[in-house]
Amino acid sequence: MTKMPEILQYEFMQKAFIVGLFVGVLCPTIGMFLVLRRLSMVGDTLSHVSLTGVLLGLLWNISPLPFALFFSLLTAFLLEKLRMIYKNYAEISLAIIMSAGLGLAVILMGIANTSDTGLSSLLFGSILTLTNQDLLIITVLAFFSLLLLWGYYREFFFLTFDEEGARLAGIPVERFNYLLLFLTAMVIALGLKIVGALLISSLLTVPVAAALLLSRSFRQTMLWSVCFGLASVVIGLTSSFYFDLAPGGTIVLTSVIILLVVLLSTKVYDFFSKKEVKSTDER
Amino acid sequence: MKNINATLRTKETPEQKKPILRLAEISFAYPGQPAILEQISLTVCKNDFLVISGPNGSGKTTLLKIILGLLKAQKGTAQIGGGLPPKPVIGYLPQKAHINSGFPATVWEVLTLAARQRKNKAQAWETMVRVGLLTKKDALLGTLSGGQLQRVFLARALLNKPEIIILDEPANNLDNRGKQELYQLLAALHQEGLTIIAVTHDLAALRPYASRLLLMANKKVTEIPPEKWKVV
Repeated sequence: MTKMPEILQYEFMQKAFIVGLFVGVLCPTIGMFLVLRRLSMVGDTLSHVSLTGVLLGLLWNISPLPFALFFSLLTAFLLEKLRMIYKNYAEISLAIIMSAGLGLAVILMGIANTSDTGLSSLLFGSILTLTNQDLLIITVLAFFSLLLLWGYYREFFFLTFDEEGARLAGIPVERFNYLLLFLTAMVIALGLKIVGALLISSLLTVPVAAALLLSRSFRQTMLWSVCFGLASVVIGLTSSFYFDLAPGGTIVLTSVIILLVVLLSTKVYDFFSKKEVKSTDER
Repeated sequence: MKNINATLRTKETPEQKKPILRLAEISFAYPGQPAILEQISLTVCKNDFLVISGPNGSGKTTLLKIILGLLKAQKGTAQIGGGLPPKPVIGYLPQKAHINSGFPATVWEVLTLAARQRKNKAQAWETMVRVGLLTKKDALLGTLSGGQLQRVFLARALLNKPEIIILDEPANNLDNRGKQELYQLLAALHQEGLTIIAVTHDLAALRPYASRLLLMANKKVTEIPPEKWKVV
């Protein structure tokens, strides 16, 4: 029988990998719809506000995950309401909510008197703090989110491509806008513990940015995004374990390195294919 | 060109003259702004090729959106079909400016996913052949020319076998050749019995294919009788 690698012999790492794999698939999938609708900053806003929820949980000594989820969902709802009020300045609603969320978080940090380690694990992620209860909640919510994305893939595609056309085709556009925001809020709450509040939103955008450079179709772009998201999480968690670094940092930096490698490879490929075309022309 | 109109008009049968769309006393104003449309009445019959033109801001797109049900008129009624279900299917070709042409999707994906019907691949294939896009099936939208992109959106408007298609500035961003190809395709669809409503700035080029011409100005629409088309 083959021996299990050292990293997987620890229960906390097994949990981190399970959550990581869910986050690695879900973040880029949802991120793709956000990026293409030019809503990349939504992730930042939601994650900053979810920090308030986590702090409230810590303050009242209750599991912070449901609180983070509740605050993210509430924020998603308020965002859509504000977006309707400021129709021509959609980013204003993001700025307003982010300011409110961060302001509240800063006050709560003072009241909660969180230790430095507690605070940094909130901001930058930690692989040690996942409880069995967290794992259960995350697994159930992740499956629920994946099912929704699978079932409404066409509706989300249509809405992202052409909102007016989707409305004409009878798709309840407002309901799906809320659903997309709720899914974003959910995945942020899920990834908060291992990636951290400051960095989780990068997983929504960076793998998608890399995949867009290789895109030959929508489906392919999504598959590449998921591959890059999963690679970032697996490599990031592994290096976090071996080098004793904050997992949020290693995961996000891995995704940025992947982006740079893809960018460089496409440039090199373009350079040589142009040269080839030129030499064929000369002949 | 004149002959095309003559032929189409002589081909009209009582069935084709059946009204398919009725606007009665429509008035509309955007919130906090003066009225853009006032008491507009209009009847469109089956197989009309109605061309609507007019200066910027005269309410052409607003009128289309009222017909499509995207905007609700404050006064008046818009009735599609005979008023009884089922309503006729309407295809819509929006102004290109609203759609991100660099969207990472292929022509096939747009026609099978961003379409009214779920997963009707045979129909998507048939429509692609109809508008001459088969060779571009797997091409990304960003690699298409303006004319090809417009064909993709036209194909999408035609997917569900509509009885009416509504086109908002269909010749936007097209060169002369692209325009001619598009207009000839529209003329062919019209000959097959489709009702077409098109808003355009490019009146001179689209006029030869039209069966009715409407001018919009000062919140009103005026129908121009064929004998005066040359003057417009």
